[in-house]
Amino acid sequence: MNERRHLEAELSAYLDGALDARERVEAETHLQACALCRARLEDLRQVSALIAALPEPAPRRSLVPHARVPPWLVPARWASSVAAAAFGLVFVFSSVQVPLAQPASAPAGRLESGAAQERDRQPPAAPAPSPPAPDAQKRSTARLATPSPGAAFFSEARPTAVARGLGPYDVSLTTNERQPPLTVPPLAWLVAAIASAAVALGTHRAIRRVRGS
Amino acid sequence: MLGRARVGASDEQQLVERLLGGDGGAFDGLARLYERGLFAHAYRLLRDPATAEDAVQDAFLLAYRGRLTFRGGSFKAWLFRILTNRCLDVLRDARRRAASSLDAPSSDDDDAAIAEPADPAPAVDEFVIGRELGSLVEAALATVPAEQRAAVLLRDVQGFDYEEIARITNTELGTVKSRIHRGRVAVREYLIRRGWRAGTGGPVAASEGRGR
Repeated sequence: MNERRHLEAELSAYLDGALDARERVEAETHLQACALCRARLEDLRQVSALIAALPEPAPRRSLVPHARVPPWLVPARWASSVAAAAFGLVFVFSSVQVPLAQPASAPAGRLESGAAQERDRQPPAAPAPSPPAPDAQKRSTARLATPSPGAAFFSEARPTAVARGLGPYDVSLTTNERQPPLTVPPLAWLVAAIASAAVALGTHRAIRRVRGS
Repeated sequence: MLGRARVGASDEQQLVERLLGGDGGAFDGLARLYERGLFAHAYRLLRDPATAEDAVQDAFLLAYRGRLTFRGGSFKAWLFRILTNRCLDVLRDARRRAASSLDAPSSDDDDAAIAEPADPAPAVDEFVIGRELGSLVEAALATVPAEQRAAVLLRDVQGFDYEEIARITNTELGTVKSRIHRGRVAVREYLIRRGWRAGTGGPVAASEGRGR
């Protein structure tokens, strides 16, 4: 019995290389002997090529979904970056020691004027933050940093602290000023700076995650 | 053509890693990578550009929402699966609407474009001189049943292999084989009825016919 069953779907699969080894051999054997199937295979090859050759239409607009950044994220990044920089500077300035022997004469609340007087009395300091002053002063100020802000407020050895114990941003950045530690310990500024930097970095990465690179 | 290989496979890998790592922005990159191919597929399936655009956007939305369900493999194939399902749903809805409103005039343009046309007229000896073969092929594809059309497009236009098509259409290999073959045969029949002669690359008078 010689049943010649023509190839059907096997033709397309053969064309696409989707037959396993055994099926492929069987198909090729049949094709060698069957002109009809060879003609059909050629038809399918051309149909496949015609479909593949169809022009690729382009969308008229971008279809990519655009994710939106939460509106508070960008100002938050900016604000935390600025805060980190500010805290960092305060930390740097507050930990730089300046020879300071004058007793407190500035009453509480005096800011710029008190600072100006201090500037007159004190020897001019180098503009750039210098390495920490003599250890003795450092130690003394460190000791003074630990008591409560109230005690430091009235401390004689920290005159400008009286005038200046008013808030973290209350920092005079004039180059001649080398203030002794404020009422807030210098380490607190460092911590604040690091925390702000962490927030800035976090918001920055959140923004990048949405907008992509 | 088989030459339409998967572009940027390593790009896809990097973006997918970022996406699964929580970087939602990586989805944009992946979407941009496959946007044109997805639209071409939707357009060939739905035959209306506006509906195709909507379908691709729907697919992107579904894909983004379900991005954490992606279990690996080809992200491109995963996108095409979502899109193909979406397109077939759209076609099914359009057919249902068309069937239920046979008497009412259709005011929805999408319906007119999407509704499957009735079976083509029986073989007619018509001269097709002057018609571009390309638009003839497009017309032929329009007559192919949706699932077969999807399989043929995934194979011949998008270049997926049979296993990938099986995953994309959630069917078995045998079904894929059958659908691709029947889709191509349907196109061939349509072309021949309209005067296409295999091997000449152009239309001739249908009365010449082909000896079968």
